[in-house]
Amino acid sequence: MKKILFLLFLLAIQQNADAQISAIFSDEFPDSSKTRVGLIGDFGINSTALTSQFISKFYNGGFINTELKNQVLSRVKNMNTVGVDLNYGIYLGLKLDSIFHKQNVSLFFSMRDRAHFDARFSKDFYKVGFYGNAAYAGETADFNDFNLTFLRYQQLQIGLFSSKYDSAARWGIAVSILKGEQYASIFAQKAELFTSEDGQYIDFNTNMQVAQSDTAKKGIGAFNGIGACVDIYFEAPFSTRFGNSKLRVSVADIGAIKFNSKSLYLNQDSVFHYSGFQVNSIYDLQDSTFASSSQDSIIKNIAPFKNQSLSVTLPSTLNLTYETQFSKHFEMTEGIRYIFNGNYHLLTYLKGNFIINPKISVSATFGYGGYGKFNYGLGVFANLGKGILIYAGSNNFEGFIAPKKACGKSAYISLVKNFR
Amino acid sequence: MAINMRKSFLLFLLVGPLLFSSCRKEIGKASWDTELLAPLVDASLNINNILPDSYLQANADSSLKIVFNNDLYKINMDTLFNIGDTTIHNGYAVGGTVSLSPGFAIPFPPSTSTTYSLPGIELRTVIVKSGYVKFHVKSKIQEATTYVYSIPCATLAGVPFSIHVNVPARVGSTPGTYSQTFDLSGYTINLTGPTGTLINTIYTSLSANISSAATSAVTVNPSDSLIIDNTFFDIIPYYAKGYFGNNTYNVGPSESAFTLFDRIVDGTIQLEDVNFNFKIENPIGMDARLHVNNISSINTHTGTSINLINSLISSPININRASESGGTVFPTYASFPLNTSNSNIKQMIENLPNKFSYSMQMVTDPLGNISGSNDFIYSDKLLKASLDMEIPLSLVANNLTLADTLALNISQSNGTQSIHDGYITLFANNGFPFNAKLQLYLLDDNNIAVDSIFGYANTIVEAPVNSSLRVISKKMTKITVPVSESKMDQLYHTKKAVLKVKFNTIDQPQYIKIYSEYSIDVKLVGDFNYTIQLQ
Repeated sequence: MKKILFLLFLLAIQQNADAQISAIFSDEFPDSSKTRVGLIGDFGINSTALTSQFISKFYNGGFINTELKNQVLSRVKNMNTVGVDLNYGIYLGLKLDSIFHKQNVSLFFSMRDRAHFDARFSKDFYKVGFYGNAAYAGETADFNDFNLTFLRYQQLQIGLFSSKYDSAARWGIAVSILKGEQYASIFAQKAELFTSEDGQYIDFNTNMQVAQSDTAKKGIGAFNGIGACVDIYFEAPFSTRFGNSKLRVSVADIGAIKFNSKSLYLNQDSVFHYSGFQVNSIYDLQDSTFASSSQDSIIKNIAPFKNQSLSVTLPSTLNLTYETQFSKHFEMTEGIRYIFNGNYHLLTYLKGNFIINPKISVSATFGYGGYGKFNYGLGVFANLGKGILIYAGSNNFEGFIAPKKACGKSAYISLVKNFR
Repeated sequence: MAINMRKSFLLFLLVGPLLFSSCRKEIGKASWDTELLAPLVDASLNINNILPDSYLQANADSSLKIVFNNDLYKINMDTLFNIGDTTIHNGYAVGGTVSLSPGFAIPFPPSTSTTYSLPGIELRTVIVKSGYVKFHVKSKIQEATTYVYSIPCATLAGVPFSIHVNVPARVGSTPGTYSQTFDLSGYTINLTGPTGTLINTIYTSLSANISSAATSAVTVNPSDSLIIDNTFFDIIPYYAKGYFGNNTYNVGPSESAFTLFDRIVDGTIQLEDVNFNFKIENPIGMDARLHVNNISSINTHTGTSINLINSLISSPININRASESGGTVFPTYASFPLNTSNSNIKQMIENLPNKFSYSMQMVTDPLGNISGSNDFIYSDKLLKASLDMEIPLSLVANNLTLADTLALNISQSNGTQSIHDGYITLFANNGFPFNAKLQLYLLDDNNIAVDSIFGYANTIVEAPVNSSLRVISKKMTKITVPVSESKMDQLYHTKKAVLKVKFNTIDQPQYIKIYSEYSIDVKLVGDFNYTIQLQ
């Protein structure tokens, strides 16, 4: 029985690879432990168009040459996505029966720093941005449905979960208070750029909303907004002719953050016609054309931001998995994952977990969807003894091994110490 | 901040790059090349924009003329007289030893006067525009003293200047002193002295007492002197009245800047007509006689100087005095037309002068004191000689070249130089009946032209005209200029440039009129290889 429980425990750990946030819920709290402390972190980036090498150069700095741009161009479709998530934090689990004499229910606290970025862009957007508009002389570049969201916040979470790992259904729920640090978004339902044949004018027809949190306060100390969210987890075990199975469903980050009234907001539905800087005298070219004040005033004129508070709905994550234990050395998990409000494509995946011995196991994942297309992952678990567990891996290693052709890069790691 | 966080959390040193703009600044700057096609400059220029600082007026037929006034000379009040700084030094002492009780008057002389040295000038009244009197007292009396110091001839709204002064007692051998400066602005000073019969004379009065706060009588010896210095300084009159004298003043040879053609550096112009007026306005209550020895038009670019030929030269001009009534001045005027039929003024203007030189002689009150010392002058109403001109813009321009120095600062604020090379295309839709050739010269730090932008034929074609030589439609010219990487680099490093535009009228030598509706639409379009660098 202990072996079975342990195998199930490993399976739960591997599930963490799909959604680190739900790790606390799905993770078994061994009977022998009263308290546990965990450090958790995960990171992921993927895109349907951008390559890992391109993103690396874009982020780390350096010159993005034509070859690099062409790599992406060959992958770009009419509509493309890119997404990044970063989460790390610490949690503390306490068995309530050690405090209130309750059975199989645990209390946990966690603190996390979280960041999310996603964007959706057209092929024309990429081409104009990285090749320029000269190729569009006499044509309209289509940026319609462009959007971009960047959100960074800190999370203080408290939750309860059933920590007995047996044949009964398990559940978990958590509520969080969120500190909004930074937010930026652009939603352009309509955005079309027309460059005249001879370059004498440019028309930008747009209907878009732009929002940004207080630009004067940045960094992890910035307290620009406050919010709340809820996480819910449910797990139901049952048996099939292939072996023991479990159905898991979890929804994370159902909530919102309200950024303060120093935030900036622009709602623009206009056609901008630009035909050059207006000059009133042939002797005033310098003053009229190149002065930064002119540029500033133009920006203020065409983009009259106003200060107002912003309510931002969090990107919420749905996970649904079905797993089956085929033998004591192998389990198979089928799952889907979806992020609401995040330009995310439904991710479907299949994962095999290979249990080498009770202290070490490895897993392999194959999926399609998410922010990219094909997803390949590997994971490892090790029981280091003395209550110390470590598990690490990647759900997207294709970007590491084929940076010119793929984008996906992700990593997760967790270090847990169980105390008696 | 993001980097610090990653350092703190070892976990995240293992993970890959982020696409967070907030973090990017601290890691590196990505850059890439693009080809941008965009309009740079858009302008619709009429003649006002091409000839700045000019004073254009439209005739009834909408043809234009330049109406310009150029002051040649203004007589300053200083030319006639100058009230210099002067100090009235008074030393007082009692005749013998006296014992004076508190509040008792000290027997000093009550008033004293001084006369300004103004040769040939007999001023009777002055209103002070600005100026001061400094009152300095040094008392050797062993008790505190009080003084009433007055300038009875200086009044403000009818009230004479008067001050009460307390001077401390001598302490040991150190005299008691008092020093204060008073503003005389606005005061009317009667310079006819206490009797009303003098000229250029100012007088003051003084009464002195032992302080009433003194506790006992004090003995005053002849050695217990009192020294009072009144210094009148920086006196600038707003108004003066009197007799300004029969004096002769030489004016010039001197030069007066002529800005109308400032930007014209080369070429020739022929004007159909020119009408000038040599005008003298005299708001001074004083007769004068003016001898104009010479007026010349000087073009320092070509080194050409042309002297005025007209009966005005060397003929005395009598200028009548202005009159004054109730504070209102009625100037007198003398006007002498200069046109193509009575002078060579047309040639003088076609010389495209940037200066006029002149030499004159002025005699004041040539008939003596016929006003009974009622000459007057206001500091803001001065005799001036000017040239009023009207030049119809009906002309023939032959390589008429306008130039102006521009300050260039194309480098980006962050120091990056983003444009590598490309093309600049000029679209000019010309509504003027003259063509124009453009050139932009890049200057080095010594203002030496080291390169130019336009290397190809770059003539903006003139607009077509009808039989009356009036423009019937605009004409489009497109000029594309390649800008190589080296030229772009030079542009980035250039701080100054000279823009030269060379004009030629069509159908020379017929005079072409310029009408107010004429304009040229100019657009500059850049097609650049541009490097975007993220901040």
